[in-house]
Amino acid sequence: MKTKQVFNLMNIVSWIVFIGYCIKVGSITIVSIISIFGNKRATENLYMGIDLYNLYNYSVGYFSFSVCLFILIVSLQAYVFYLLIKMFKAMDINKPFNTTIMNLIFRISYVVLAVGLLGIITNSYMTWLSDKVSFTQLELGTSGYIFMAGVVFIVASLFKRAIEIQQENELTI
Amino acid sequence: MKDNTTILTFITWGVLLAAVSVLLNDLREFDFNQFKEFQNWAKLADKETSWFSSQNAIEWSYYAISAGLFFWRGYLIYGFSYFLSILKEVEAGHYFSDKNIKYFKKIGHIFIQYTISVLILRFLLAAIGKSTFNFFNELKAEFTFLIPAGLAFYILAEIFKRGKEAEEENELTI
Repeated sequence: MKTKQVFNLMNIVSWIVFIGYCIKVGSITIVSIISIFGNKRATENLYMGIDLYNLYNYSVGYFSFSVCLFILIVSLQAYVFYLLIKMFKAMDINKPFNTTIMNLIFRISYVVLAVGLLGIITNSYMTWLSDKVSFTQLELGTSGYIFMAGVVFIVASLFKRAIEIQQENELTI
Repeated sequence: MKDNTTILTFITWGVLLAAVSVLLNDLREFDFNQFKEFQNWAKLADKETSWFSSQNAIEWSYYAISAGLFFWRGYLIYGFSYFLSILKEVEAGHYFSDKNIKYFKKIGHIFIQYTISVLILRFLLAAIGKSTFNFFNELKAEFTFLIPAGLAFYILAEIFKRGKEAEEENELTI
């Protein structure tokens, strides 16, 4: 497959995933607000089968904090893909090395690291909570994020090196 | 850069060892009792029925598909091990080497091959009635991480090619 095609495919995939995460954030936020201020039965199906009814009955505070953490993680995941879309917009595949792209890649690595760390904190919190009350465990899927943050950071550092080489090149000419 | 690569090498080793231990544990926990049931059935089975429609075929398919799923998980771990090679190259100062370009392409290939194969195998497993399958749920799990990562590595390989060209040009000018 040609690079340009892969590039376009990646752009489409990023848009799909970004929209998916936005829908997820929106639906969880709205259902949580409805459950706190309106019908508490809404907690039985927060998003695609996530049942936090028992947790809500146990403590509204714990419920709100768990939901806030969940929303924060999903929002950050959406933000990663937003940055990716922005990067694709700014990138010229024939001349990929510029400071805008480099800064975006660095920012992606920090956000990915934040997702990974928040995932660990949320998982520990959920495990601690599950000893007190039984409820559906939230599937965060953030296990690989810390590793990916490292990989993205190295890639950003390599970009920095490539920009230096390019600038050196231009100066010599 | 050297400090970062050292830290990342440690993290990569951690990820690899954890993944291997989880895989070995899953292999250990794999339900071999069903194989005994299958042997018992084989002794009593009606020899006249066609093989393809028999319980025999279904049981064999279950083992073949499960073995396939284990194989692909092992293959994914093998793909991750390429990160160690990339980090070694970076540590040696060969940032845009041919090897790195090749490794990035390979990682991209493995991630995408894994996703597609696991989707197919899980569908087959559901088809023989051994599990449930929801295409969108299955795809969503892999789609949000491995497919974008796989495609990103393809693009990175191409970008590294450009980096190599810039580096060569730089060396020639000097």
